[in-house]
Amino acid sequence: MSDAAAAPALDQGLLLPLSTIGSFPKPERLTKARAGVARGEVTPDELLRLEREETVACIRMQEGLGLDLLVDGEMYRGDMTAYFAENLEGFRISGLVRSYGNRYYRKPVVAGPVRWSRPVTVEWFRFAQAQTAKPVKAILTGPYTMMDWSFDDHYGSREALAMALAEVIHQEAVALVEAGARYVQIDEPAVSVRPDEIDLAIKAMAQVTGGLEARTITHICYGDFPAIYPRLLDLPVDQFTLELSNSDLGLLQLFKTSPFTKELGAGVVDVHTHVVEPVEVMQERIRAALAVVPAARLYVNPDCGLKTRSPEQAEAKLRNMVEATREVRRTL
Amino acid sequence: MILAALLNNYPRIGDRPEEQVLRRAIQRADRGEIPPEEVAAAEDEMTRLAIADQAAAGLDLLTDGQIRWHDPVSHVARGLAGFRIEGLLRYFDTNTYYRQPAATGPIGREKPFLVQAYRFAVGVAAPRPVKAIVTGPLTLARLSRDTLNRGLRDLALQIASGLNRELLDLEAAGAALIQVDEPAIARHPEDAPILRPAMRRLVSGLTTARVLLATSFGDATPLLGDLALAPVDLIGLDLRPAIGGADAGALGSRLAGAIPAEAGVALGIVDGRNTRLESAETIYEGVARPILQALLAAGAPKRVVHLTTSHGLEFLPRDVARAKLSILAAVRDRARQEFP
Repeated sequence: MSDAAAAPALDQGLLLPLSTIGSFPKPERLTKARAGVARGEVTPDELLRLEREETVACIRMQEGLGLDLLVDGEMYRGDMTAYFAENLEGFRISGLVRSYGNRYYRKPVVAGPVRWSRPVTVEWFRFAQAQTAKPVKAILTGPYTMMDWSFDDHYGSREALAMALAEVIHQEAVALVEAGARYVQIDEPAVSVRPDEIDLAIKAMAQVTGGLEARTITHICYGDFPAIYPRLLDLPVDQFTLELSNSDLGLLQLFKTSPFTKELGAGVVDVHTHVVEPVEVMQERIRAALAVVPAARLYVNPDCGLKTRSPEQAEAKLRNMVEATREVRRTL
Repeated sequence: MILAALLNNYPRIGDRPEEQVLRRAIQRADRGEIPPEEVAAAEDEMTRLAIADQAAAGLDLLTDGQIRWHDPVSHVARGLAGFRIEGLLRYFDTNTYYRQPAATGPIGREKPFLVQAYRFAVGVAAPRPVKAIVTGPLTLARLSRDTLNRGLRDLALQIASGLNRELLDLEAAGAALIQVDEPAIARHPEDAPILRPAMRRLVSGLTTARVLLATSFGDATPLLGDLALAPVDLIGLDLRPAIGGADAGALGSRLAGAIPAEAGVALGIVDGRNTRLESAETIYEGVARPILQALLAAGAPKRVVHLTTSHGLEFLPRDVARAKLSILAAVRDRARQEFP
């Protein structure tokens, strides 16, 4: 049964709604507790209690800063692919694989048919939404990225695996909407890396968002955008949250070659630098985005998830983002 | 002669505690708890384990696993003069990254940077031979930032001249086979005209060492004509994308038609990018056998053939990497039965 009617939405007429991409830094006590569970020194219930406390704290922080469209902060997720792989049927988790430098992760392996047997994120969505009168955006990892960032021992075809994942993620998205989610973001960072497979990414996204009664968003970052633009706009979603700042607003130049026809969640905070950009710098970025996309279709957010920053840096960056947006709103 | 070899890199970690010495050492060095020499000792240890895995699988020609390499690009650029190492960029279509070099000054090479590691690997691997590996000038030029606007051709040629000194030193250190990795060429076929002049500079003055030009990350067979003209002794191909849905026998005929009879080939036949373990028999019957029949047919029965992984195995978990090496050795054994 749907309880969507109870869920809050963004105010009609609110200009430049403020949001984030999804992940927030995990406080040290949470990182330690996760490691403790792995060693058998902390119970899963104790970890869950801490994750809930930190989720509440994350929501309070977002409210306090003045964000409009909140997220749950992903305190309970590790890697964005592994989290779903651990909670869907058909996956196993591999041995360690190098990411870069001295960083390693456990890459998921598709070992059998992928299936959705129960909601993965719905309880967390309900919990987060119950903490606030502001709308909470649900965040999922998209089928193309899940496929590209997993090993495949079973399907033997990138398309077959991507489409099987698309059906699974569609079911999760439907369950979120039934639980009241009005905004569903389906992250597809891998889409910008293989321009030759953009058609597959679009087909898979159509499966996910088809018939979904929610505002749909996708997040893509750090890749070869010129190779996939404007075809990118055919991804069947209402909004794109994109990384603009790390690439010195290069994407906005690209959007001048062909109109950006969807809503744009403009990344005005570089999440890959320790430096907290001044309010004026972020204002300039927002104004640059406004020169390409009209205010009625522009949202403001950081480039990407904030989990790689310290909690203090993340908060300071968001505080400046809010102030910069308010300044620009006054001029509209 | 049919040999089995890992293409280049190998996991520098595993799930056993003794396979995590390097990760731990780097973490401790980052915290200032141990001096850099202890990281080097851990690199030595992981190199020994990489070589041990290859030897245990029964490979004929080993690599040092490139355990000391941060990535295939910046490791070589750091050894050359004229580069500054910058931020992380995605490495081709993988979920891994490399540090991008910026070519900021005249490219040169002041002192050897691969020779010591090569000698170490030779000592550990003996009596099995080790191939020396260097990332090639086209790939380095392609993946670097050309801050002085030299243009790809000039930059690649300058890098080739700098790297030439390293190849000469590797030869002097006893390297009988030097592999030049050019993973960028399959994705940038427009660079093919630079291949021959760059390779000519790169191998200039070598007298005893043989050179293997290795491609990966895509189908380089459309460039067979250019590859065949390069002044190298062996040509390496990633056969997985080259076959696609087509017939392996037809691919073998294309290879035999384009690659001179006196040139050797390295055939990337075991998939280095996925965990799926195909049986040696499937790979042999479906891929290796039809291609070997064409390549070793009349006119070139003595051709040197390396059977390799399609990529380095660093993208795989260690247990899977080990299994892939065993499959590779089993394919080689089957091939030797039929093509002694």
